[in-house]
Amino acid sequence: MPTRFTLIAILVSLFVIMGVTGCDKTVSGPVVRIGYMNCNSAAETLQRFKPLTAYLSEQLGRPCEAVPVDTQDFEEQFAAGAFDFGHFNSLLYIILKENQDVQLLATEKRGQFGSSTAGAIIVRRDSSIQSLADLRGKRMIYGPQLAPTGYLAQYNLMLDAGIDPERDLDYYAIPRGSFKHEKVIYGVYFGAFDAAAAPVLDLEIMTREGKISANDFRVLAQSEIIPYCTFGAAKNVDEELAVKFRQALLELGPDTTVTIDGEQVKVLKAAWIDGFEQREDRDYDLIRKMARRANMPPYQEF
Amino acid sequence: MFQDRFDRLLFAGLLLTVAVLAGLLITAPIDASHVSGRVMDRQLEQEMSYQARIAFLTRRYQPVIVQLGQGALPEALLTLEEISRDLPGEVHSDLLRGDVFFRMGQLDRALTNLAVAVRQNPDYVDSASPLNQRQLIDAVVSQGMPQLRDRLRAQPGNRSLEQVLKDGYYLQSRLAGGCE
Repeated sequence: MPTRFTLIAILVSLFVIMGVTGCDKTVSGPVVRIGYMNCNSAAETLQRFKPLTAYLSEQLGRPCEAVPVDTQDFEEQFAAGAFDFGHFNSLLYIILKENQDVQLLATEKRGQFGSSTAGAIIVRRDSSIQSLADLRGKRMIYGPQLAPTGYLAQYNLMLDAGIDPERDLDYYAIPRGSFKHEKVIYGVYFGAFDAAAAPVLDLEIMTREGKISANDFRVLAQSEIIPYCTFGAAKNVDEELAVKFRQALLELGPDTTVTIDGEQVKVLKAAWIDGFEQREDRDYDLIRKMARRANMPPYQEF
Repeated sequence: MFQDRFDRLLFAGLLLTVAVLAGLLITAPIDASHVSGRVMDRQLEQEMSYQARIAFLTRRYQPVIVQLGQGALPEALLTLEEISRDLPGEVHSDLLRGDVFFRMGQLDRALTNLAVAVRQNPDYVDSASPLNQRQLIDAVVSQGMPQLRDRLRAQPGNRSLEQVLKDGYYLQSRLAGGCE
């Protein structure tokens, strides 16, 4: 039989342990899987989003796992329940909304346009091409097909100008591998193509980094401003968890840090993100209009 | 205290020197022109530095002004990005960015950028300043604020919009001026 003194000692020890462990937020329960759309490579995606995932884990009190996903595979994996939350471009958002009833959580802010961005058609400053009409019979380079501001926006700009990229261009190409948007811009810069479908954000970042100069190109046309990359939740995710997830994203500031491998890391800086903004589904209607016009998913008809 | 005659002589000499110095100090005329000259110099320096700054901004941002005039708005934003790389923290870039966004119809981005510019340099709302941009700021505020309030009504609790609204109110207040 334990004595009264032993019982008191055990009780005190338990209180001390609870006090010490209570200083940190406890993380427990089933793993929350977050799918991140790859920009350049799976390794880069994991490195970028590891701190954000750790932060979300702390805020949700649940273990979170980052899953890098190829853009083309995103919908299939989402439909198969491979993850609870996803980070994807705005075209993927309308596809997932239409087909998988994804819940809109928050939109990423990056660059001069904040949580919005645009696509541009550029030519070299010294090009003889002066207008979209001059693109007939020319060689053009686009970003990947599911890129809202690297393909869709420019495809629409051309359709609006009465040019069918499939028939009226001499040829159009899509670069392979990583850093596609940079390759598109360099494709025109080095004269391999006459015109390029360049995301405005990439032009801005490359100019800021000194890779290109503002005088290197002329912008033939710029699309309407549309929402940028977006976080969404699968329809079966518990509403309370989704609200907490959104709240955690909106509360992120430039000085928010997490500990990764013993180092304090700034979450937003690591993820190349300026912050998050709450937007409405109707803000994405412009992209829906573009996708319909360009006969692209989720409205594609054969 | 005095050991010999030499000590007394030394002490008398010291007293005389102190008396003469005190007399000089009391009778010395105050050179008002010298003081006012220094103030004038400082004012001149400030004026010259201000004029030099305006000349510098005009020259450095001339390509952006030309692009704005031509309606080349995306190019203007890229040029501003390039200038910001060379002159980080120069709020004239924020002011012109606000102008570009206004012309693009991006009123919330325009409000945010203009608020940054005015917070750092109130000359933009000073009608007597060569940097005066009251007309632009007034147009952005009067068009942007009703739109923002509508959006916020539809999305209460949207902190990004609330922040832009605060920037708008700040600009409104700067345009109105202080108590008179």
